[in-house]
This record gives sequence, C-alpha cells and structure tokens, in this order.
Amino acid sequence: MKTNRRQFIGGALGATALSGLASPMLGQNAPIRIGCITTLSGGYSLFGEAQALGMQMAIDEINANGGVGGSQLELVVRNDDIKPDVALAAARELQGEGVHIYAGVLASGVALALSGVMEELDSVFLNAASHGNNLTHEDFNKNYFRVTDYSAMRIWAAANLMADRYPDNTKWGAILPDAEIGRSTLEVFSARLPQEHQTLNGHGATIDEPVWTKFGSTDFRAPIARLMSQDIDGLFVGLGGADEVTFLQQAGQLGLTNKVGAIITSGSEFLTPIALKQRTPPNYWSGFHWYYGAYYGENPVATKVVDTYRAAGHGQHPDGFVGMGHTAIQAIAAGLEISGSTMAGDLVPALEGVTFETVKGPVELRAEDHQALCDVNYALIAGAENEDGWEVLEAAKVDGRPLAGEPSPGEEMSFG
Amino acid sequence: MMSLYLFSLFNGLVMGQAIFLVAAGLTLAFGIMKIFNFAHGAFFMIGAYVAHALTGQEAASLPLFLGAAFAAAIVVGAMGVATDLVVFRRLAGVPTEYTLIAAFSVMLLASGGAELVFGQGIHAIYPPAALGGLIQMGIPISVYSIFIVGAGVVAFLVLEIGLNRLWFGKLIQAVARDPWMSDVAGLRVQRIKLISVAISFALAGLAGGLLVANQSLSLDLGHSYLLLAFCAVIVGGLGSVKGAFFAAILFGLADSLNYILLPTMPGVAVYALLIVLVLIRPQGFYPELSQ
Repeated sequence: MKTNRRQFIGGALGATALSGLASPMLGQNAPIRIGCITTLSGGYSLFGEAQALGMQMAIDEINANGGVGGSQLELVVRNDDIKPDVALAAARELQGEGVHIYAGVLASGVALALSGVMEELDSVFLNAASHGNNLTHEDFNKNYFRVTDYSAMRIWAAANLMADRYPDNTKWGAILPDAEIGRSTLEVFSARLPQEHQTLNGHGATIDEPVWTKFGSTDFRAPIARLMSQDIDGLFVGLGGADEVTFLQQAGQLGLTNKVGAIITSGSEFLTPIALKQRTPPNYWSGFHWYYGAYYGENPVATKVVDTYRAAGHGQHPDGFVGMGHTAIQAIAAGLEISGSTMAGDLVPALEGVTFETVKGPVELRAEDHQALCDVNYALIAGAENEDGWEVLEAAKVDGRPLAGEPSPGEEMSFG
Repeated sequence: MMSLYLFSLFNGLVMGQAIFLVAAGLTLAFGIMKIFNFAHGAFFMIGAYVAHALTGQEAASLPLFLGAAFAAAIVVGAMGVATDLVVFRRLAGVPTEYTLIAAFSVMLLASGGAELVFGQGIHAIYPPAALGGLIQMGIPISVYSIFIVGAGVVAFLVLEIGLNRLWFGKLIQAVARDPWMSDVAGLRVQRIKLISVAISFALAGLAGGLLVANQSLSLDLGHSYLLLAFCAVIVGGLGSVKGAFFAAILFGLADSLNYILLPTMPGVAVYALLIVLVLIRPQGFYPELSQ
C-alpha cells in the first residue's frame, strides 16, 4: 500500500499524540515528567545521588497524596558528569521526550549552561545546589530559579556567625581554590567580616593574604606552611569536597588546626566529619544547604523527610542535598498547582513570588531574580566517641532574607 | 621566611617521591607494553581502597600498614594479569590509537567498579602510630613524610638494580626491546611480558597502599596523581625508571615551591617546567627502554 504525503503527516501527528509526550495540562492520565539532571559519577556523585533521592522522596509523598492537580509526578534522572556539555545533551534528550521541567545540578558552571538554554527549550529549571552569585545576577535567565541560598548569603552568614561567636578572633586567614568561585567567595568574606565585627563588637577584623590552591591537589603542606607563618586566629576554608578533607587532614597533622581558634567552611555539610571522624578539628563550623537537626521536631516537612530517610535505611543524617532536592520538587508542585500547566510560559509566572512549605520552613522564590529567600544553616561539629565518630555541638539558623541583598537581575553584585 | 623555603624544599622532595611511586609502574608498563596506560591511576586508587578496607581509618601497627600495602599490590597485580590477558595482549600489533582507547575504557571500567565495590564516600586515612609523629627540625617534618621519601628511594633502587643487575630484569629488558629476537633466542616472551605487566600493575597497587594516608581517599584520587606521573614519565624518558625518578623530584619541587614563589598562580610551575623540559630534551632524560 502506498502512503501519500498527507497520510504520512497525519500518521506522524497521530503517533506523536499517542507516544506519551507529556500533556501540558494537569489532571490527565500521563504523568508529569521532571528531569533530574545531576552528578552521578566521580567524587561528587555522593551529593548528586542525595539530590536525586530527595527529589524522589518528595515525589513519592506527593503521589501518595494524589499527585498535583490529579496528575502523578515522575522523575527521570540523568547524569551530567559535572560537565556543562553533558548536562546540555541530557536536557535536549529529555526535551525530545517531552520533559519541560528540570531540577537539580551541583556545579555553577553546569547550572549556567542549562539556565542559558531553558527559554530555547521552552522549559523551566529549578537549581537545587549551585551557589554562583552570577546565576541570579549578571547571568540571570528568566526560566531559571534557585531554591537554595547562594554564595553572597552563605558567606555573609558565615561572617556574621564568626563575629558573633568569636568576637576576639580578628586576624583571619583564607585558603581557596584558584577559580572564580574562590575569588568571589573571598570578595564577600573580606567585605562582610570586618563589617560584622564592627557592628557586633565595635572593632574591625583583618584577612591576611589568601592562599590559593589548585583543584584536585593531593598535597596542601606548602599552603599549610604559609598559613602557619601568618599570625592568624581564624581560618576560612573555601575548598570543598575531597580537597577540603585532604587539607584538614594534613593541617591537623602539621598542627595548623590547633593553632587557629576557629575554622569555617562554606558548604561541606557532613563531608569532613564523616571522613575525619574523631580527628575533626576543634571549633570547626560547616555550612549546609539544610541542616536537618535545626528543624527536626519543629518543622513537620523536615521531620517527615528525616523519618522517611531513616526508615528507608539511608542512614541517620540526611544532608542538605537531600533537603534541597526535596525543596525543588515542592517548588515545582506549588508552581503547578497555581499554573495548572506544565508549559514554561505558564509555570514561570506561577513560580515568581511563590511561597511554599519546605524542610527549612516557608521559602519564597523572589519574583525579581528568582532567588530563594530562606535560612542559612551552619553547624559546629566536633569529633566524638560515638558510632559516627563526630557530633554536632551547635546548630545555627541565620535568617537569610536580610542577607540576600536587593534583587538586581542582569547586574553584577558589588561588595565595595 | 627561610624556614618556609626549607619546608617547601623538603615537601617538594616528599611530593616527588609520591609521584615517583605512581610513575614507576606507569613507565614500566610503557617500556614493556609500549602503551600509555591511562588506567594506571584507577588501579592506583583501587590499591588505596584495598589497603583502606584492610586497615580501616588508621592501621593498628606498622606491619599491618605495610602488609595491607603488599596485599593491595597482589590484588592489583592480579587485576593487571586479567587486564593483559583480556585486553592488552589481544591488541598487540594494532595501531597505538586502539590501545589508547582500550586503556581509557579499562580506566572507566576500573573506576566504575571501584565505585560499586567501595562506594562514593570520601575517607581520611591516617598512618599507624609509628609513622604518625612530628619531628621538629627547625621545620615541622612528619615521620610519614620521611617514610614516603624512604619508600620512593627503596622502590627506585629495587627497580633499578632488579632491571639492570638481576637475570630476570635483563630478560624483561630484552623482551621489551626486541621481542622477536628474544623469541628466536628461546625466551618465553608472552610469559615474561605477563609477569612484567603484573609487576607494573602491582606497583600501582603498592603505591596506593603506601600513599593511602598521604591525602584523602576518594574516587578522584587516581586522576590527581596520574597527570603528574605522566609528566614525570615523559620528561624522564619513556620507559626509564631512572628518568622518572629524577623527573618526579623536579616536578615535586616545582609544585611545592610554586606556593612560595608564585602564590597567586598555583600549579603553573609544573606545566611551565614540562614545556621547557620537553623543548630542551624531547627524548627525555634517559630514553632507555623506549628505543
């Protein structure tokens, strides 16, 4: 049988309609598919898997309660290998399968790449971890939302916390990666620490010449020697990941961690105490996307997430990546409820200014720059003689709303 | 300031020996198989994980620490035998590009396997108490650092003497340089090659076990050392243990002093040195086995 052009086009359209591409409207049979793009290979896969797990937990909870507007949610997970090109390929592949809502991503560079193509893909991207200031400022894209705090908020909170808890520690050192994230982090800390000391303690503070390192280094002894030669009583560590563990391991062996009175890192969650255990340095503060202990028992969303996580045998300590994965899905559900549609043109305005319940309490996605206004979490952690080898001595919930700065999408931040 | 320079010099020596411990197996693999074994870093990482699995966060004693390192060498050496029989031997005689891609595939497979078996966590491992102390000699020197330098020197001497003075070492060199003539002379070429490959992989495992307490242990550990080890192998002369030894020290010193002399540009000195040395002496310091 011959097929003419008209029959072919009709057949193709029919096949497309039947192929299960997501319907833009809620309440229909097809599930709403959400593309989770995150890092599932290499040293950062630990965080990516936690992020995907948090999303799946939120989806299971929402589906068990009847879904969103009658539609079930479905998570489709892809590995970005922490590379922008891999993430873009994954997004395009999923878009070809009818996915228009994306969530996840760890690295700011990957988030920037995805953010840049969202309009072209007629899609929305809710970033659950990347901290780069640029994403909601000079590189702002209207189909991009960030559901966690960001570098300027987190580091300002660190400065506030250190000035408050250690008023006499005024000579600080810093060790950072020789990369954009290291330089922007230092810029914020250098501006905010003296300012916070002045406000809280009536005197200033200084930050000695920073020590720059390369990513993936196996030997920090020479940088440690430089830090030991400086007359400092506080240390800001901006390394992250395996680099931070190596640095603190070697710094402990050479005596640096006992020399300084306070150490703060911006975003290592439980990584360092899990690795160092009883050798976790004294006066060590770690930054969190979400520290569950600060909310457990008080916040019903957080309590449920922690209980479900533990009951499923994932361990006792869900990290902030679980929490922010969960939050990204909560935001998507809130947006879908308002818009009644999965199309970016409907979902973006619905998400702008939305306030929804999360593991950190009510969070607002600021309408102007799509930045989450939420708490910033830190915890003072020390080695302990228990099963974990460490314990949290103090949890700090810093209100991040005053620290988020004025929205200025399209403009670079200034800390002068 | 003087103590800072002294510390950096000593640290450069330590780092150089750590690089050499990884590079030794790599240069041997090139000398014998004539391939750049991209998987070497992954097998080094597996050696570190095996040692960690045996000792935990801190080995109870020095013999246990050393025993775990040798166990890692045996496990990784056995993996090398399997890799050679299944992959590399079958590619003998095919263009180099194919063996490079095969080595890359083996690396991905080994990394993925390590993730499945050992998990994704990051660990901090500490040397046993006998190596855990700090000596004040004007500058703080950890006993474990001295141990790394000693291990590097011992590995160098064993390989150098073994390859150049012992009967079996000469057989390996003969097979590496002219397998056809070795075959004609009655040597069991394939068996000698297999044993050599096992030694090369075992060196990666041994390096992993000895250096496991030098930095954090994660799935990225192999990549961290592999690049510097390749630099040492290239500059030292492809296939030359002696060349890799001296080149590794140079790169270790360059990287360590970089933090003092060019503090705002970490890591630059290694690559600058690589470019300069390759331009001055493209054949390497001692282009022995590659000829």
